[in-house]
Amino acid sequence: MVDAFQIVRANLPFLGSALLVTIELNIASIALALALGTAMGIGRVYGGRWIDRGLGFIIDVVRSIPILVIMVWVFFGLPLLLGVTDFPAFLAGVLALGIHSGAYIAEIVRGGLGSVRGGQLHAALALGMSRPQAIARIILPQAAIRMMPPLSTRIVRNIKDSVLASTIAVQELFWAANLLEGETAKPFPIYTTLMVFYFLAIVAIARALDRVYVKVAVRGAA
Amino acid sequence: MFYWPAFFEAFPALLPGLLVTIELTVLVMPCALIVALVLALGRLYAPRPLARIATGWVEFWRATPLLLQLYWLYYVMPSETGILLPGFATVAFGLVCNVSAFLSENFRAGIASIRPGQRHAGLALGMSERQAFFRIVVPQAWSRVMPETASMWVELFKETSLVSTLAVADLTYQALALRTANYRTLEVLTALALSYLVLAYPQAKFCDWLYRRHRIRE
Amino acid sequence: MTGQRDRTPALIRIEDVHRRYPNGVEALRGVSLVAHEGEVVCIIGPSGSGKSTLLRCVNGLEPIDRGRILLGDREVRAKSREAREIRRQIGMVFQSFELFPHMTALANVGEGPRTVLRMPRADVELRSRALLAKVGLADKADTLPAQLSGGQQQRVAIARALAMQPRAMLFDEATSALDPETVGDVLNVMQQLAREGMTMLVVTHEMAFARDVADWVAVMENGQVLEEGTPSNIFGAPRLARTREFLLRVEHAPARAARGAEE
Repeated sequence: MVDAFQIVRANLPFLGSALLVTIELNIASIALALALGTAMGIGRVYGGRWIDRGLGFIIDVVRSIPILVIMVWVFFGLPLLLGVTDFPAFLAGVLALGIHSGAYIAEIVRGGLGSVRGGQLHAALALGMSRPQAIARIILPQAAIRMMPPLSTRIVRNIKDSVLASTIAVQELFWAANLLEGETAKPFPIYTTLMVFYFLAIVAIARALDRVYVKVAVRGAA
Repeated sequence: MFYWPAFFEAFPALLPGLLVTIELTVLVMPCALIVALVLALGRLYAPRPLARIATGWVEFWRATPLLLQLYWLYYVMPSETGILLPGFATVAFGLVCNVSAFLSENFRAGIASIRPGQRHAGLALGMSERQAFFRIVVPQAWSRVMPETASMWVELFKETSLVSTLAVADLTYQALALRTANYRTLEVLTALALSYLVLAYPQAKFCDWLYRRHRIRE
Repeated sequence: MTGQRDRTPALIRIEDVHRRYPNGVEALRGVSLVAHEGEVVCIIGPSGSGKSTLLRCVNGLEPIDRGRILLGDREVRAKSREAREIRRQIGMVFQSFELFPHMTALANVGEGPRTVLRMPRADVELRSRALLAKVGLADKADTLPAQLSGGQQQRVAIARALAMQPRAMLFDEATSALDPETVGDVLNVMQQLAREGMTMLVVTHEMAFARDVADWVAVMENGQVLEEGTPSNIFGAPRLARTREFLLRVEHAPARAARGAEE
């Protein structure tokens, strides 16, 4: 049994550097998704009817297309559209994940902002704050706390989706595993190790995010 | 730049793939629903050790990437257990395991969210546990569970695209094969995206409507 | 008597105000009311009479369709930039308290001076602690709203409004959402404010408070002022039958109202 995993141990450096790529891919795409999603969510809630409809349409479109298809399109199709050669796969992966997760995050932000009671805005305005002040200091902090559980779900989802970047040859962990399997024809140790690793990593991250939420939850109480 | 004839011609070529995608979705969902219900009831009402195993199983399928799960089943199952299923059956099985895990968590949370007082009220009237469950708990849990379940259906429809990486001839596989054949990458891939969009968008809007209706009822 | 009232300057003037909601409901149909400096004006009436709407129009949270509202000599226009300036000078206390849940009591009280008045941090803290002490909650400075009772939250809300040193205070059914035991605590704070000479517009169901503390009472129904006068006039000798009916329903004091002069 132990021997079976020798392949994995022998190739740890290789897998390790691929893991680094996975981490970079996720950090970059989640950052992009949060930026895009927050901007779009705020735009939908405070931007007026037309912006709300326009963004709503874009978000619905993005959410209707599988992430794999988006990734493939961004890597193979977008360069052709832009007339660019040599589009880096990593960038395509970050863009695809960022846009896809960003659309979902936009809806989470929109829901979060909507869940803050109207009275809070009134109370802030009654003190003499301007609308932007009231939104920034009173509405957004509360909304941010309420958004944490669905956001953590979406972050976990992003991590799981990131393995799809292997199909466009981003040299992340799953790509490395496939390469190794192709060379050694030993799927059991390789894929099993990967499964256990992702399981532990994702459970750890989800638990950590939950613990942060529990600490701040009392500040978001209705 | 964008060669429209290739774009329009792509659609009929993608049709066989679309049929496989639909087949897969329609086959997997009912199976997943049944398995999910069993898992949810097991986690809620079965004796502790069994409930724990069910929870572990569900947690596992929820916390690992679908693609990895499919690859593991596709490559490891034959090589270690000697069970060799055709590609379609393998990925269908994997999808059922994956989707049922998410659905069962949904069911479990929905049922658990009904206040125990409700069940007590039913029992106090003289109902049996089973009656109380089906006449009081399930109808209330249903309105909470249904919109998410509908969402999962749309998710499943999109996630079938992953089977293309294992040479199952679904919509995505068909498109990737086509572009290799005619080199019209941009047009074919855009047609692919549009195909999913046209099919999933109305379903997704329907789900949104379900969510809204459910919220107003509360 | 009106003569006495006219001797002090009018601070809040509401002149023939109309407001119709987008869904067609006419909340205010020509309301006129004056609050003089240092006066406590209580507005009573059945639910749906437009009392809360009127209050929200006074500090520009809601716009009016016709008529005008003046604070001193400045007109209150809801959608204008001056509206903010008006709101700095009028404090408002809400039925649902509306404390900011992500801030401690101290931070809540200091939020106005910090963000709106841009006072230095040290001064903000001094003022906040003093006000919390004034409402009897000095020891709760570092607690979060979720950990406070309703009455405590409302007192913090009053302190928060006072921190802006307003010229007038609006109370929108400040005690309606409280347990009977804590209502008294809040009313005491309000009474103390009145004694200190604060101009107050109070929408309330607490008839005893209106009788004891108000200088002037206005009865509203259906978006209009039915009747107004001193507490002894309104509660002791209401002119209109409708007023009497309302008081009967609310107070269960048939003898008193029935003895009112029939006109």
